[in-house]
Amino acid sequence: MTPIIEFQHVDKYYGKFHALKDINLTINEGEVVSIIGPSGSGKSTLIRTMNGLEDINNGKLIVTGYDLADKKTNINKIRKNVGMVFQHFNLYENYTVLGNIKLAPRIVLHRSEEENEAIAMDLLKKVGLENKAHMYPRNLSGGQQQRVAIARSLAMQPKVILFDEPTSALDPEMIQDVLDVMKLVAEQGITMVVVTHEMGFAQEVGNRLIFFEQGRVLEDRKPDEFFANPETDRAREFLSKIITH
Amino acid sequence: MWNLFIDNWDTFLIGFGNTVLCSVIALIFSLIIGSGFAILETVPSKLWRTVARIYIELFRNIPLLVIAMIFYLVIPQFLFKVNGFTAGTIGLTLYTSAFIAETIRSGIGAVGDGQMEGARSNGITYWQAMRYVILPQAFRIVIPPLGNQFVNLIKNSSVLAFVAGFDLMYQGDVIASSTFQTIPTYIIVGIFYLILTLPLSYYMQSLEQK
Repeated sequence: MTPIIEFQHVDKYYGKFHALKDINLTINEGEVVSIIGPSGSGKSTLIRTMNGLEDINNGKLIVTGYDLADKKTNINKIRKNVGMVFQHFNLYENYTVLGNIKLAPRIVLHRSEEENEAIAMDLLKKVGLENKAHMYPRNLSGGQQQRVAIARSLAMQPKVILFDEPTSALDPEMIQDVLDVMKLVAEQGITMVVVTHEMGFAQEVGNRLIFFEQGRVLEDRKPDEFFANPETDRAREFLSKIITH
Repeated sequence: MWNLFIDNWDTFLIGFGNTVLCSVIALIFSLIIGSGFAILETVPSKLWRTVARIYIELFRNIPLLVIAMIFYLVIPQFLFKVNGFTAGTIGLTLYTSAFIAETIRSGIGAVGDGQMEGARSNGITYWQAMRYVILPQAFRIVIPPLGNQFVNLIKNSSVLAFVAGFDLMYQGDVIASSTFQTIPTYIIVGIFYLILTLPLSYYMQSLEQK
């Protein structure tokens, strides 16, 4: 197993608030890691440090071989290999669906127009939206926008994709389509880190589960074992609330 | 009034031409300078943001007439000779650029943070994100207020009259004082300004609806 993301004694503060507390965590190539936990626990902060959207105050954070804590690291080199999918999609509103997918490969990787177009159209087919190629994001449903956002990440052919609550802003009937696409990504062997409330996804697709609370990793186990028998009281309490709600 | 125009049409047209020239030059450069300072106001570096802030507050809060006078009277004494037209146009450009900077900055602010985060997470650099994602959206948002600034700029070009800039207003003063037909002269001057400002207003409105 080759590590691709390594936290070594990482701390993160917002002013006096200690958001991430001495995180030690290694994620290996090809793993699908689900991060669950109550809101305000720091899950989003944790995932956002992995591509430098949030900086860290102490420790080392090595992603695809580069240390994010080192000021000399060129963050763009990491981000080329680490895509991100957001809760609110964040598609470029001034580009069409196709334009969204093609922009970064064109201006970052300098991929030829012909190849770029072919890859983008192929990805749109995979996420089931080739007929929306020339529409603008504002004319798409949330679920469709999120599938485009995943295709946009995939177009960079990244080693890792970070998903920050990808289905939390979606209407219930849209969620499954997005989860299906995420499953497709997992099958391609791309490393995935997913902050989610979708326990079904965590159990079926994920091969590792992290229960995060108050800025700490409380449990880090196989999903089946976690759901069958959570070790900590906090995790048990959390699960009972989710299942009964 | 028609006779007044026929007798003095060449004087009016020289003024009109100078007003158009001054407005076009000031519009182009205030847009460039204003955009520059608007972007500086949003960069991560605090030093550059402060520099932009000082520039904008300075030129926004001094009356245009004072700025024009400074360029007309003070600069020639210490630096280089300038005529009234040049001094007035520079003053108008810098004054307007401060307002344009504020307008565009508010447009950049109105583009959600998610757009920048989406781009950066895709491996796009800060400046590329500005160029391809943020600014195109910001300019769209600021078309209406920018249109107002352009109309104001044309009207404000009448400041050239105070620094011997031979613009429409200046020529109007010359005609009014030589013919003593004050009221018709300034009506004609007003009509000339409308010829410039009304089409511009309508053009900006049509852009907005696109």
